[in-house]
Amino acid sequence: MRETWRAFVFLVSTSVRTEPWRSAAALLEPLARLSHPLLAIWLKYLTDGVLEQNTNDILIGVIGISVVQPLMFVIALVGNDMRVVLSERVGFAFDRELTRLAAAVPGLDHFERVDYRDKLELLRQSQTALGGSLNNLLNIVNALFAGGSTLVVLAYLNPMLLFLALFALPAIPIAGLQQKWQRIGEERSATPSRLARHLRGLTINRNAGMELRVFGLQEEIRERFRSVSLEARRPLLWSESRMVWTDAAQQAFFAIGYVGAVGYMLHSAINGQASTGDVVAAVYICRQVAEQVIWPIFAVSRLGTVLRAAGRLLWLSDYADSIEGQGGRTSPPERLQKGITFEDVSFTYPGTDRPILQNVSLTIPAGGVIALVGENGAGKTTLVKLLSRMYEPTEGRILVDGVDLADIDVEEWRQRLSAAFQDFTKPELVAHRSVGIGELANLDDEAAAADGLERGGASDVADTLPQGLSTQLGSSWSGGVDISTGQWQKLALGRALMRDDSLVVFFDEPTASLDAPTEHALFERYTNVAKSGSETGSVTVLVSHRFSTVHSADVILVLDSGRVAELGSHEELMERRGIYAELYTLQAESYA
Amino acid sequence: MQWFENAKQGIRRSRAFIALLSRGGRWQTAIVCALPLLRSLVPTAIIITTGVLVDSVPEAIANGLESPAGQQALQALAAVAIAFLLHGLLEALSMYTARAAGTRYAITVHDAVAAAALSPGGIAALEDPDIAAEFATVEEYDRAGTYRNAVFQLGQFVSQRLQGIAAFVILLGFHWWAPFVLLLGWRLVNRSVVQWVEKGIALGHLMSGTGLRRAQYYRSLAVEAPAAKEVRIFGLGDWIVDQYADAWRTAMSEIWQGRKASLPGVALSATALAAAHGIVVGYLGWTALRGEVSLAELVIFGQAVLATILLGPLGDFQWQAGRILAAADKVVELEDKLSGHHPALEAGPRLLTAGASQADSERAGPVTVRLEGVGFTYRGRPKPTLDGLDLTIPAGQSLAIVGENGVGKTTLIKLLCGLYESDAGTIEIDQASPLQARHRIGVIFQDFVRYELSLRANVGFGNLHLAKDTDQLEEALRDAGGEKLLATLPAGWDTVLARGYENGVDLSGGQWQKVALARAFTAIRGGAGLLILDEPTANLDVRAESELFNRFLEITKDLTTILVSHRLSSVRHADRIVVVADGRIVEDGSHDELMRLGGRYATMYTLQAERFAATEGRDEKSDDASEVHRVA
Repeated sequence: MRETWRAFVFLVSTSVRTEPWRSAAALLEPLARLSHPLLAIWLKYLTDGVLEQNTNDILIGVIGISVVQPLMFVIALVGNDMRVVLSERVGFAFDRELTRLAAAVPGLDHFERVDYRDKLELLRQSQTALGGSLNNLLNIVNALFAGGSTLVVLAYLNPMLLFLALFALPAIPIAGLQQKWQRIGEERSATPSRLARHLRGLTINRNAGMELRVFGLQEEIRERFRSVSLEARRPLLWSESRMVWTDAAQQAFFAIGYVGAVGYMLHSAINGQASTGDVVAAVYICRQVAEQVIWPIFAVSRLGTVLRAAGRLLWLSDYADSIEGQGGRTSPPERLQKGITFEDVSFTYPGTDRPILQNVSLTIPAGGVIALVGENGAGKTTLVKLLSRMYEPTEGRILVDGVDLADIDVEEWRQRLSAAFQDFTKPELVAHRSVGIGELANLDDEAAAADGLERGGASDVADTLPQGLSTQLGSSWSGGVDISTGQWQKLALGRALMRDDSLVVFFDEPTASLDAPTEHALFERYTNVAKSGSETGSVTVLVSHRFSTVHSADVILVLDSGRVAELGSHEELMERRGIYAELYTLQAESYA
Repeated sequence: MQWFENAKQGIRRSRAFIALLSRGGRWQTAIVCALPLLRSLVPTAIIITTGVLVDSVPEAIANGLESPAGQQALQALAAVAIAFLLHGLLEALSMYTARAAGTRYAITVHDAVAAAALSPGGIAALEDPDIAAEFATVEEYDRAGTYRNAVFQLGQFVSQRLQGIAAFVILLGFHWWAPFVLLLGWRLVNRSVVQWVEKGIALGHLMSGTGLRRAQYYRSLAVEAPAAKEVRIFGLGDWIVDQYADAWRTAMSEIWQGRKASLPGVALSATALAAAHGIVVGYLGWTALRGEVSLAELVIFGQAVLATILLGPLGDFQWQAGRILAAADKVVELEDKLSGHHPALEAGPRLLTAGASQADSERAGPVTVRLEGVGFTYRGRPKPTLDGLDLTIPAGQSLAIVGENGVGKTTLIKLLCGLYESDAGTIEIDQASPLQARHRIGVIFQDFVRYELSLRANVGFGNLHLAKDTDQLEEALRDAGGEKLLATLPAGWDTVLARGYENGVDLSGGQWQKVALARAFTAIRGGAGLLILDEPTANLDVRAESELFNRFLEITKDLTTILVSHRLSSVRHADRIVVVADGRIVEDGSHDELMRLGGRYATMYTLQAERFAATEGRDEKSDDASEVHRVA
């Protein structure tokens, strides 16, 4: 309940903050909802006026219907427009906040931790859902206004008529039950729905389309999609059938109340306590109660569902708050003098209990190249993540020229890093921007991008593009072209080499899809970096399965199940005849 | 003749909707169409019975409930109560059928889109920006619930309109001109907001334009996992948010611009509406005053006047209805477009799925591949990627294709698989076209698919006829080096390879690669004679890679094999190596021959091998290094 209230306040305050005027104007629509109950009154005047030959009453009725009614309609129309635009704009404000948070939270927990990833996934899919929440919220306000004013008119005609509202009360427990059924239905349908979405995605995806065609899986996938969709539909229909029949039961119950109410009005009219007009108005307004009073009860009971998306965004923002403000404000050094030292560093992913790194201690000298070797899951990438502050060590510390990395400002530290990852991004931008985002200051400097590619030995990519580095990448954009995985990797490499004042550069499997000449040029660069490293002090961290790349590193770290298995230069490790020597030999053999 | 065009469009769209709906079942469609009709009758009946009820009230008041008038009043009241019950029943029935038919409709739509997307034999259509945009539009509609809520929303719209029409008919009983005056008023209002509605529908079309799609793309960079690390390292967060906001505002301001209803127009139509009501209601009051209209008629006509609101704009329902019909039309349009795409490739997949298995048993064994003068140019590229490429691969040969990034190696593979149509030259696999010969191919692409299905499906998809043959699948998995994987899975072959499913398991990149390889091997076991491997070891670690290539000769024994790899140590195992450059084959021979030739291959190979040789040179002082040398 508290969460719902918080989400409610959050939604409303964001709306008022983003669009104060439209937020106010959106209330025009609820105002216009008064028109329905008022109609009962106009009808009453019209009837009584005719029966009693009272021209004034008739005039009130006619004016009420012909002026107030269209006016209310126009107000509703304007309010409706306000509501839609407001929902769009506020939805955007929320989306923007979500985008900012998702990108700005320093860590990767929300992407990698299983339970968080689910929540983020829900948020990710719910683009514009928060705008929709606001829209629904306003609709609930509309319903409340309509319901409230209906009750007022009932009381105005005869306070006894308010008893009719009691016949709407079963809606409260029914709404609770219906929500439960709906939740059960949705829960049961969730897994098959997800699979259906996945299969559907495959059919229109180009890469999947290739396999489906070659293996002749077109019909198979469609068949699976259809059957799993029907499976996902079953629990929804189950809950729907329960919901509609309880609705019908509620209606039937209300019909009793209606007969009672109108009968009561008839009775009072016979006793001379009400006019015929009152009876007419009662006939009209009591019918409205069914919709105008029962609907708000359902609407309010669904408030929690409506506000769920807002609650999820609050979760992300809480999570971001819990992280921001952690860590120090010290600036990183201009250049590395001594190097980077790991002191007994251990790490366990939050929410899990298996340590990924255990008691890692080592020193990377300033200007040095360290290579990380080990099987999949040995902890290589985790070490990179710690050094780039995506996560903080669970135990131990990392020292940068003797300063604890945790005391250094995250943003400033990141500005002095650069990286090419195995799972590199394929930004479908104009080619030079795809490279240029490696250093935003030079984003639109085509020459700088060309230099970056040149440094990575990857400048030939530009030659193969129709408009060189001005080519739009990604064929789904107008004028865009597709490039091969290897070419994307080259761009990623160029991106990693845009910053020239980096303190640490990561190369995480940088050559998986690269051709031999580019691979070679890249290795030559490490050697050069290592040589010129004495000037900048820059450290290169290399993760690779390619031992030809690894052997020239100053320090080679062999990780085995999160522990330092071997540490030393190529020569030292070959002498040890351990894991490294074995794997190296295995690969060297294949070329001999 | 704008209205004529609009009407024509409306009819076309409605037909598209009905056609799609009836694919889900004729009976259901009939019921779904009939219910709004019935539903619209009930409120109309209530209007009339309340009229009868009220009519008897003054007399009942005068003479008591026992009088005939009193009895009539009670009967009318009972009728209203029954109408209420009926209303509830019909409402429940139509809600349920709307839900059932709506979810069914969504499935039909998605299946139709899937069928359309899969109907061209090649993938060129999927790379067409226009078609990509259409898919995005369909997705956008789906996300907004346009398909699954279609039946309900349209049902509401139709039954409300029908109630409006019923009110119109009732008013004809008052004075023939009365309903027309009101209709005129409502039509004027409708006109002034119709633009607004149209633009609302246009939202979907704009999505397909680059505007909002671009905004969404930026947003996805920020909220999706793959880019997360780079976004942080390069500090792209704020920049992405700005780009997203700019793209969104630009796209939306266009929508808002068009949607702006003209204020004078609204004011004018509101006045006209008030006047129309004034005339009809005023005249009604006056005639009633003069006793020309009975009380019952007054109440009935009065309520009917109010119900004519349903002839006017129906708010959300109206513009949802517009969207629903436009969305249905979009699907049919997509079907038409895709079935017309590359007609030459059209017959392919059906032919393939129909008689593939029979063909297999007749023609097993390795295939011969012949490419002659093959040329291919990507859309939007001035230069051809492949240009006069000649290559014949005799049955049973293992061939490696080598070349720099972007030289067209993968393109060549796609052509061989019939995924693109070559611009020039001929491609034959055992004298058949690639499309006809697809069932003879087992392939692992660089970006292989990770099906969120069981291990059995993931491996068995290589050949559906073997999907139940666990022995065969097990051998395929073993060939791919994945026997250990099977042992670790909680539900064995039925383990779903994705988290979030019951007994679901996430696989690492290396494990996935083995599964994908096993899939290709299953195709081979099912009778495919051509194995295509595009960078099959990119995600494998040293040991797994070396194990795979140790088995390479055995696996490819009775096969024609094409291997694409940058790891030249793997390439060496092939019988024959070709180097692709400038759109054709520039070197052709065995490893030894190409090394002797001293061309591109030799240069590339030496570059990679030297890195080991160099260390060995450096290591010569140490004993271990010479041991390495000896082992090698």
